Formats: sequence, C-alpha cells, structure tokens
Amino acid sequence: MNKSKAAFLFSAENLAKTGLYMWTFTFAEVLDIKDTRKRWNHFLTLMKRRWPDLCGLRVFELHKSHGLHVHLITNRFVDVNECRPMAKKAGWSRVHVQKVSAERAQYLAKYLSKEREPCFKRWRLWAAFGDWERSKVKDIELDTPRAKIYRLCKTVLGWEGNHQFNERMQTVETLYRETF
Amino acid sequence: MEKIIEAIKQGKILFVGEYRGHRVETIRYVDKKTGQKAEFLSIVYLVERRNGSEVVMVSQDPGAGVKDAAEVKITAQKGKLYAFELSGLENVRGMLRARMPAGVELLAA
Repeated sequence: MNKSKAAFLFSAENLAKTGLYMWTFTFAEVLDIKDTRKRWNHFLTLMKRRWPDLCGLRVFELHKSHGLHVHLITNRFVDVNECRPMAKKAGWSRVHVQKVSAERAQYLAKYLSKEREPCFKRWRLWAAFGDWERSKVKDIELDTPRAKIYRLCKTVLGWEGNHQFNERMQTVETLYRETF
Repeated sequence: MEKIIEAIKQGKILFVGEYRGHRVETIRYVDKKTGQKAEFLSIVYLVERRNGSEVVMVSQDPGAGVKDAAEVKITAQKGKLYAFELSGLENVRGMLRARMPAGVELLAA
C-alpha cells in the first residue's frame, strides 16, 4: 500500500455508492505509450461530450505483451453499443464492460502496487474525471511508527524542503530500529 | 534443519539471520478531507546477519483473519538463528528490507 493506492481505494469506495461498471479498452496492435495516451484523451473527450455527468476513475496498465491499455470504472450505465463507435473513432479496438461491486474495483488497485515502469515516470497511473468528491493523495495522511519519527524529527530538527532527503530517511531508519 | 532443507528443495528463497526482536505495527491511511480510513497490521522482524554487519527488517502480513495485534503469536527466541522465507528483498537507500509471505512461520536453523 502507498498513499496513491489508498487515495484510489477511497475514491473507488465513494464512487461505488451509486453502483460501478468496469470497462477495459485495448488495441489490436501494440502502440507507443504516448500515442495510447493521446488516443485515450481523445476518447475521454468524446465520452464526456456525450455523457456530461459521467464520473469515474481510470488506471493505465502496461501489459507484458499487449502494451498499454486502460481500465475504467464509471458510476452510471452507458450503452456500450453507443460507446464502441466513439472508441473506434478515437482509434481503440476492443471495448469490454461489466457491472462490478466495490470490492471488485479494488482489483484495479493492484496495478498501483506494482513497481513503476521507467516509461511511466511523471505519469499519473490513475486519475479521476467528472464532478464528484474523490480522495487526493495530498489529503492522505500516513500513520506508522516511521512516519511519526519523521514528523517528530521535522519539528525538533527543523527539517524543511527536500534537501538531504536520503540522509534524513537514514536518520529516521536508524531511530526506528532503535525502538525495537 | 530438516524443514529448511525441505524448503530449499521446494525452491523457496530463505534468508538466515539472528532474530533480534519483532513488533506488530498498525499502518493507517486516513483521508483528512473525507475521514475515510484504511488500516492493516504488519509484523516487523529485526534480523541481524550472522557477521553482525547488517540489520535487515523483515515484514510480514499476519493474514486476513488477524484483526488485532494481540492475536499474533511469535515464539521465536532472541539471539537464535532462524530462516525467513522471502517473497521480496529490496535495498532502500542502502538499507535492506525484506518481505515474507503471509502465514509462514520462522524455521529454526
């Protein structure tokens, strides 16, 4: 678990209050990931134009052999037969949708636990769209012994900014081990 | 020792070290805006390598059925050698951290 995954799970929980639909969008061929992202933005724009009140969460997944594809959870029913021509227009191939429970939505969080691929540097692995109350990573507070030690050191030693971060973390780790 | 040999034969990755202590920690994530929270338990073992040069933190999920820290029972004795079955090992800023699969017991070496 990390803060991003926690924020995703909380957001999925909020979204699940009205029922969830899980979508998977894939391509027939493997595409460059930047191209995939462009096509996704195009497709999402088309969907939001057609269904302005559509809310959801999207997760990028880099498959071992099929390249980048997109998983989406939405809060309302959308006719897949109406959606497929839009997907085709934006350059997508296969569209699959099924109704899921909130627990099933947590399945998507597993992609957020994986080690980030170098090509995903500075990318948002998940994002929310639409007008709804979602959790943000900046609002997530972590409560662990290490986090407590870090906060205490920050107050006592006056740590500010990000300089000497590695040295700070080593100090925290040493103090943490001393607590055993 | 037989259990360790059996585990090695099964292809399990083991790390042998001196058990120095453990603690059951509660890890909490709280959303300051909505108040939602998620919490889970983690067992953290402090293990010293035999040459005494390095300390390794081994963490383990106590399992889905365990809800309270008091339910976790560890019978390992401080100062004795144990084998820890590993599911992950990483070097975080020059410090070794390892993970054990849930529900796996320590093997006396």
